[in-house]
Amino acid sequence: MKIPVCPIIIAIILLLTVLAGASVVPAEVGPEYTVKAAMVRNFAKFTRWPEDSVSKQKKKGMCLCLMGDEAILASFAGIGGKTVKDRTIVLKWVDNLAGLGDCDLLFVTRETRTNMARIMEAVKGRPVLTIGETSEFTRAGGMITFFLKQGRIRFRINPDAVRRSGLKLSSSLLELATIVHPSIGESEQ
Amino acid sequence: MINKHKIPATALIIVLSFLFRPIPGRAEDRDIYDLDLKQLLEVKVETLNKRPQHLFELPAATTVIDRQEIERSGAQTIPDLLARVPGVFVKQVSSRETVVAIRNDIQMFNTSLLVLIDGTPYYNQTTANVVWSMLPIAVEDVDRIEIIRGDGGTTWGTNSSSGVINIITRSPDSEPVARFSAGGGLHAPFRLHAVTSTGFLRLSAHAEQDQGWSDDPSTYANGYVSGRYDTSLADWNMHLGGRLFGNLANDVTGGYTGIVSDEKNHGFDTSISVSRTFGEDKFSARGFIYNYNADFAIAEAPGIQQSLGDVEMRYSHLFAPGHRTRFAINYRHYLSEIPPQRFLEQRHQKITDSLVNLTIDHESRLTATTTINLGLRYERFSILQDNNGLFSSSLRLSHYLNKNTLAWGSYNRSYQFPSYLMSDISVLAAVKDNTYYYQTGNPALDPEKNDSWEIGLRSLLGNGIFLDASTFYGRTRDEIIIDPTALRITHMGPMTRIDQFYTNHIKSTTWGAEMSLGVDIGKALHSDLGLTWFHRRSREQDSIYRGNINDQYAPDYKITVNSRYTFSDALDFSLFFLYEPAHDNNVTTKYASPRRTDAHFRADGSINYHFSPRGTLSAGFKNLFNSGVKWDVPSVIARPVSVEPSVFLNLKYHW
Repeated sequence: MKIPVCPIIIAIILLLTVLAGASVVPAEVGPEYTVKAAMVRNFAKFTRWPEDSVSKQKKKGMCLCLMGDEAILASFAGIGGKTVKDRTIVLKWVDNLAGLGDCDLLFVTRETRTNMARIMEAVKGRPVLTIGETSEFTRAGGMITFFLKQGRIRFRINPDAVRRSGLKLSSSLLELATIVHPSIGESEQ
Repeated sequence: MINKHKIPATALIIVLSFLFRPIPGRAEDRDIYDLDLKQLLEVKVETLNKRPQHLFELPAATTVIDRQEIERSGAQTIPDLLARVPGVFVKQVSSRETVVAIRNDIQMFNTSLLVLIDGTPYYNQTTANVVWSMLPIAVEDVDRIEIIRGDGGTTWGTNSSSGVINIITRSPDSEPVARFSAGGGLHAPFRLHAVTSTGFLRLSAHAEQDQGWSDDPSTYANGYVSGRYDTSLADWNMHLGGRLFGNLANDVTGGYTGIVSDEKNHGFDTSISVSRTFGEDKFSARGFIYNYNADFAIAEAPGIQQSLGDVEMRYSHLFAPGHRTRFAINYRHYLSEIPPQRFLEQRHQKITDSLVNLTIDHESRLTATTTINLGLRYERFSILQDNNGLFSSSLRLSHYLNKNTLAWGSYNRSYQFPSYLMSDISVLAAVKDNTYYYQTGNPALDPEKNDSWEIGLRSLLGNGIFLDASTFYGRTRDEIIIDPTALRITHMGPMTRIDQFYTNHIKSTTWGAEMSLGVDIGKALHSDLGLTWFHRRSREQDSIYRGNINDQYAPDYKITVNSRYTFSDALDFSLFFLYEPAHDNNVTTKYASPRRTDAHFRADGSINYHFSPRGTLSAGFKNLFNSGVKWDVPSVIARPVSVEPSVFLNLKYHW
């Protein structure tokens, strides 16, 4: 009798995989983009949008646009549908500049191919809280930039860029950030 | 026959039970989402330094050549870039034409390698391969190239059993307002390239002209114009694109008959794609039309018209964090019209075929460190006489051994369909002693059945050292081969015609290993050492076949060293070395003489002077040390040629 080798191999591998699943990850360690997604939600809590922009957008909720690496969608899914100041976070995947029209927040990953200056130009003068991960993003006029320090996520804020957009950030948020002025460097709060 | 290829019931049960099993909760993720900012600042994160996480985690042997590497390498063609990748064999057989193979023999009609531009297949359905010289894309328009070595059957479908090359083009929003490049040199083509972009609309034009090699006097001129428009309608992202392309070649020598003739090829393609997200789910759809009119002077076959229409829809659903299922449905329609030819005959002058496939692919993160991926694909292709549909399947597993080391393994089963050449066409293959030898298609062919097993390891070893290694074993049954024992002999006066048919009588095994070791030495120097070991063996599958059997026409191993050195912000240097040992190129036919490629070195390099933030002047060379080395590739050239080294200058400027 011929033994069906392939299905048996698949079954063994699957069984071993499930058994291997018993390992536990320490609770204080989180996947990078899950932590960043949670931080983005917190940034929204500490941000005040101009009254007229909120009234226009309120029906649609708070639109969080994501640009760059599609793999982060799964990490950000956990904040989709959650509320911030009675507005529901709605995730929107954007893969070209034309899609930035109705964003309230914009997160640009380091994987994006899009020219940073073009992104900043597309949202210029509009109340969009821009969040990124690279020094190029900061130089192009991005508002909040994540960086890593000793295995933990920290962030820089460019208050000039925030002011120009018409947004207001709470002092509680500024206290936790490194303040940066692209023309003169950065200072710890 | 085809109805033997049933999906194993056990595998189906495993897939279904896995898809519908209770999904374990991800309490730790949910907890993180509800933390306040001060608490989040205390959470330690898992991250992979400098490398995109989704590429690091892929349970497949994958290499990505990015924009920076393309810019600095000085490479003038896409195959020049592919030569740097372990497991990929590249042979430039004339100034115009290059043959590329992944984990397979280096042959012109390489049906097991799928080449895509932005996810759309570009290949010649008559021979099921890619004619690289006719691919309407220049390196200047490429954003990155993803090379997947090994079976991509469940994800990519037809003709991808040895690998996939996906060429991603530059988007309008990644471009400056305008850029321009011009270059040329000794034994190198003269090239002009111009791009303008508004951020939404990108227009690009390319032209190149070459004077051939000393050993091969054929010359060519290629050109294309392309456009892409990106826009957004409500929550939908939309892309519209198109290309017009053409090329001319003079004094091309026919592969077997030695007749010298010219060829003209021209065509167009157009595409539309839309996508949007629904929360964490994503829907996308695209349509593509491709048409070209080609003279294949190498086979003395002018005026062949080929068209492809392709429609695809994909939906990706996240059941829970870490548990995602992708569904896809794809329909392709092929049309080939072949006018009466001197040395090429076909059963039908107009050939139409259609391909339908359905794919389901499920990925589950079982724990924070272990991920499993199960793929299943159903394909129905009308090129097969016994068209009952085929199932491909795959199982992929990855596991983090520690924060910076990922081990992965996979099993794949897929099928490879015959081309029109194998199923519908008779082509003159040789003229010898008053006898015409024809290779003749067989409409009753079965698809080739491939099974493969792979294991790999990816690790950031610290101190800027990155290791990527994989080993594989593959088995092909029902391999399609020209059978010199299945003959039809026709006497035509003093001449004799012998038809040799394609049959499914060979089984092959391939095995080998690849390794890439990337090292950062200080901030200025980065080097990649690439090692490839490859072996292939073929045997009779049954007692019917009694002809010659070719084992391998690729080198046993390949060594590459690819280095980039940054002298300063204004000056950098790229240098690439390759060594391949001598190897035989025997052809499995009665009439073929043994062929051989000499052992050879190859050195390519480019020194780039950035004379302003907008402009770069480069001086480069290619194929150094290859002069005098003879090589001969089956089905491509009638006699060995010597590769010509070239030197060139290139100027780039953007606004």
